Parts: sequence; structure tokens; C-alpha cells
Amino acid sequence: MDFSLTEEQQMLTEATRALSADRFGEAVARQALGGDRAGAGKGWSELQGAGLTALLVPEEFGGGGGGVLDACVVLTELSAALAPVPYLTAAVAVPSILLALNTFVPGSADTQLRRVVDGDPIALVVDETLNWPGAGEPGSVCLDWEPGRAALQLDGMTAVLLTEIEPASAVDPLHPVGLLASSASRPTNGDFAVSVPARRARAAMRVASAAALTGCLDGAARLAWSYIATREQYGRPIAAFQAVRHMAADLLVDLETCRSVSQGAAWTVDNADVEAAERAAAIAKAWCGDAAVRSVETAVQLLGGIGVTWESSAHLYLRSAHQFSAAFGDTRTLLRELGSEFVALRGKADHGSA
Amino acid sequence: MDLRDTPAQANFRARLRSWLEANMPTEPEPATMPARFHFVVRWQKKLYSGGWVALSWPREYGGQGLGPIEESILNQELGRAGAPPAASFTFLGRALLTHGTEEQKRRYLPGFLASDEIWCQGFSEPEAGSDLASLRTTAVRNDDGNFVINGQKLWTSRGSFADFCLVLARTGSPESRHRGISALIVPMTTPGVSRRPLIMANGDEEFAEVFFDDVVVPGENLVGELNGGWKVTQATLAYERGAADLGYLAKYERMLADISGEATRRGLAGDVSTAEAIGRVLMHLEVLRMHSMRRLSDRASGRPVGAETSIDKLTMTKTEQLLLHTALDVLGPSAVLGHGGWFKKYLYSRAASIYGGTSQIQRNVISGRLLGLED
Repeated sequence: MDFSLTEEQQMLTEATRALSADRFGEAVARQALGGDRAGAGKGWSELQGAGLTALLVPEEFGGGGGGVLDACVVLTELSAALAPVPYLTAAVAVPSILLALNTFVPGSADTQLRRVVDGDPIALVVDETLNWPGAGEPGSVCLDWEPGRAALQLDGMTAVLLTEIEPASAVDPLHPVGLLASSASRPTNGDFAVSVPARRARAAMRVASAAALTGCLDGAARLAWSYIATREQYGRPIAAFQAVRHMAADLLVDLETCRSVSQGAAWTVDNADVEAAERAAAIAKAWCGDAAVRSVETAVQLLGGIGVTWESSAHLYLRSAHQFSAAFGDTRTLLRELGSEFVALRGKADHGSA
Repeated sequence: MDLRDTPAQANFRARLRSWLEANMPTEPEPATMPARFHFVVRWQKKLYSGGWVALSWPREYGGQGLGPIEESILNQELGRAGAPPAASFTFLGRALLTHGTEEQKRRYLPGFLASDEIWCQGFSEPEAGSDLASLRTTAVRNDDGNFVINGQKLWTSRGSFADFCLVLARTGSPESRHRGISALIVPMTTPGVSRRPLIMANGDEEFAEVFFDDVVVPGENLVGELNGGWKVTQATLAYERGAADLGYLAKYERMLADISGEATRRGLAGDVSTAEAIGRVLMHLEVLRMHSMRRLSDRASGRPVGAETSIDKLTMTKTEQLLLHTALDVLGPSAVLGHGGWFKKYLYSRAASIYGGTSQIQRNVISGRLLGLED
């Protein structure tokens, strides 16, 4: 048993951190907040140039041939740096779906996989609860969409790229969404949606969400920790007060458990059978969703008056945390599914403690 | 990363599984002390005779020379089989293993591991709980080189049954705090030692108060250096707080299955709020499992045990308390009427945020030693 990241994964972490320090951070996030996505686009090109946007695509297509865990370590760093890029969708969800389609019908998604390698970001059509797959009805949400971008939709067992999409509002300006305008309703996805490859692809989306949420928590916690160590009231740093320090400690407990569960679940999605993969991914998603929202709220509180202003980055982390937490199955839905399954399986009436 | 057993670990697990099948206790665990204590000791001796105790200790002191992963596999398999857990107090032996003299190790460790001699830990006092460094029990060295101990200890697990106590006593000035504390081995049969069981809220006699009235022990019973007792406690507490014990998980999961069974019997199985509450506990169990595996892997690769165990302890505490709280929540009135013993287990779970360092102390450790925030 070995839980450590490989040397390559540690290098991915370092490389993404360095690239993010250079290309992302508060300034670029603020541009995106004001509707200017030029910096975000440049950053995405850098990521593509470094081979990070096609990590999941097999080498035969020119991709990185990596696993979900590789993409997850990148995503955690990007989201800690408030990078306004569609990594979760275009670099994890879309290639995962395309690879699943290729497993189901060999060769059917080759063209689109090449687009992923070329760094052409593709948005994703989800249902009105932001879960995948969606039926693609008009009004369906397109995650990580911006003008000029196509969105992936299933048409039976093939992938189609839709372009008739209108801008829509959502809480996270770093990850804008659109709404499907086209009235061309797609047939249901039938066998594919419940197939093992599709279920594994959805597990990958969930565990990648968990990784992104871990990054939000990390970024917000670091803001809060450095603030309380320097902000003085009553003649000393507010970190001197135990009530404040204990909140700071809770952030680290959440952050460390998020790292453990998101990385362990990513490995499980890459390596275990589909039932174990789905279970681990759902739990990681549920935990990181709850923990990130809870802890970013705590960070906002620790930042005091500054934390609730437009000029602080805290609300950007809070916005991203909520949006990541809501997509691909929110905590409450996931817990109800997990709980029902457990009760059905283990809660046989004769198993009780009477 | 590879969360599977290596072939050697899988082999170890298989051997252990078949041993357990043949050696599981046949009688149920008694509900009350002292019968339960004797039951646990019998089981511990059986484990020892099978070669399953102190797996990660060096062979020369009665261990098996294996690693923390094998320790964890043992805990997992005991939990899976529904066997009584392996004694969780080997951390006390770590103090002797790490700080004891060669003579002390040879004299005490074999009996300790074989459960022929039972040990307890004399740390906390009525006026020294979280603030252990303020302890007042004194040990004065007399002209013969012996120590004369006076004072009182509290919350001493197994204190009513133990043969030896590792006592922390003040050997420096009253104001010397952690710089003036020494660790001493005290045979519980020494004249002047008396004990009184302490009944817990759930009715159990898990702890005792121990009184020392001019108790004389020879100078050779000093563990570590004179006034160096604080270092000895750090060795034991770090292990006490560890989350590497994956055995709890199987036990917790079985309890959750029992809660689910009870909910099914009461016609609550289709209720979404019940499903959500059970799903939430399940989530906590899986998080604890993944997190413990990460810590275990760190430990197996040689990283020393440190302040991060406070994170692990808080996580364990939260999980255990949520589980038992959920039992009462889901089962409602029948739990209050005492059905299934859930209320008793719930009462016990309230101690989880107190023993081994309160949750507030853990947060002090995290903010001070891990985040570097000063008071």
C-alpha cells in the first residue's frame, strides 16, 4: 500500500504552481470578473503548450496518456490560483466522455479527441441540475462556456458539438455558463449512459470536482492564515486569540482530509472496478463540496470586513466552491444515493442489533 | 500511489484471516467490568501466542519486525472478523521502547507484550488535565537514591487492574513545569498505592483514581533522564493520537449496518432524510479510511510521527460522535428507551473529544505547531 504521489505527479504539481504564479492569480481572475478573458485565454494556451490540457488523452492521439489522478493534481493547483480556465470540463469531463464513447464504439470520438489535443476548449451540456448526462433540451446548461465555444452533447452513441448557445448567468465568473438555444432535441442516450465506460467517465468528473474544490479551500485558507498572522487589533495579531486560531486550525483539518479523499478517490477511479470508482468519487465529491464551502465561509469570516468586499478574492473562492459543489451531483443528492444503497445492501432487517 | 496490498501484505492478510477463523473467541464479550477486562486480556494473550502482537516492534524485544502497514492490516482484519480489538495501549510500551534502559526493556517489555503484566499510565491529575505540565504529584530522591512519591492520578485506564503504572511526577521545583517532570515505573503492589474505580457516565468502570502515599521505588525505575519525563510522554501521546488504526472503521461500519437494519425494521428505510443521515456517516467513514491510509503510507516510508496526528484525532472524533449521534437521531424514541444499547454507546462517544487530548488542545497544536500561529 502506497499513498504517495509519483515523482511525475509531484512535478505536475510544481509545474502547474509555477505556471499559475506566472499566468493566473488575482489579477487575471479580476479581469475575468470584469468580463475580460484575454488573460485567461493566454493562460490556457500556456497550459496547452505544457501538455497539461490533454493529460487524459492517450499518447496515440498526441495526448499525455495520463490518468485522472494526474489531471486532479493539476486542477487543484489551478483552482487554488483562481485560474479562470475550463480545465474541469475541457480537460477532464470532455476527454473522459470521448474516451468512453471510443470504448463503446471504437473510433467514434477520434476527431473530437484530436481537438482536445489541439487545445480547443470544449464546453459540456449538462441537465438543469448541472448533472451529466443531460438530454440536451433547449435551455440545458453548458458548463464552462463562453462565446465562440462549442459544447459537447451525446446524440445516441455519438458526440456532437453544439454551437447555438446563449450566455447565461451563474454565480462563478471564473467558470461562465451558457444555455442551449437550439430547439433540436437530442434522442436519449440509452445504453451508453448506463454503460460501464460512461459511469467511469462520470466518476472522473466527480473526483475532478473534488480536486477543484480542494484547490478553492487551499487558496482561501492561505489568504486567511496570512491575514490573521498580520492583522492587528488590541495591539497584537488577531491570531493571538484562541477563538481565531481554532477556526484557522479547522481549515487545515478540512484541507488535509480533502487532499486525502480526493487523491485516494482519483486513484480508485483510475484503478478499481466501476462500483468502487463510483462510490469513492461520489464520497470525495460530497465531502470536498461540503468542506470547501464550509471552510471558505470560515476564511471569509477570518478576513473580517475585507472578506465581504468586492475587492477581496475571498468571494471568488466562495463562488467557485459553490458552483463546483453544485455540479455533477450536489452533496445532498449524492448522500441520499449512497445512504439508500447502503441501507438496501447492509440494512437487512435480520442484521440488526436487537 | 497504489492502494492495494503488495503480494507480501496480501499473504500476511490471508495468513491472519485463516488464523482468526480458527481462533476467534467463542463466548460473547461480557458487558461489565471486571469480566470484560479479563476477557480482553485472554484475547490479548491468544493474539500474542499466535504471533500477532507488536508487529512493528523489533524482534529482540518480542516484536515481529514488521511495519505499520501490517499493524493496520491486523486492525482491519480484527474489525472485519468482529473480533475484540488488539490492545490499543501498546503506545505506552513505546515509552519504554524509546526511552527505557536496556535492563528496563529486557525486564518489562516481554511481560507487557504477553499481557502477563498489565500496565497503566499515570499522567492526568485532578488539577492537571489538559495542562499536564502543571502536575503536582511529587517524587523526591532520598539518600538511598530511591524516589518517594506522593500525590494523586486520575483517568487512569485499567488502573483498577494494572500491575505497573508509568507515573509522571514532579522532580523539579513546583514552577519548573515540563522541565521538572520525571517518568517512573511503579509496581501497583508497592505499599502506599491505593486505587478507586471511577464510574463513567455510561456505567462502565474503565478508569480509576490512583493515590500515592509515601510510595518508595528504587532509582533504577526512572525512565529516561531525571527531569526528562516530558520527552517520554511525547513518545506515547503521538501514538495515542494516531489514526493509523483502521480497525475502528470495520467496527463503525458494522454499527452503521446495525442502525440501517434497525431503521429498516422500523419502516424508515425509504425515508430520504434517513438515507441522507446514513450516507453522511458513510462519507465520514470513507474519508477517515482514505486519510488514515495516507498517514499510514507516510509512516511506512519512515516519516516521523508528529503534530499532524492532531488532525487525525479530530477527524476520528468527529466520525465517532456523528455515528452515535446519527444512531439516536435515526432510531429516535426506541434508542431513548434503551433499545440496542445505543444510548450507552452514545454516552461513550462523548468521551472521544476529551481523552487523548481534548479537541480544543488538538486545535491549539494544529494552529501552533502546524500553522505556526502564536498566542
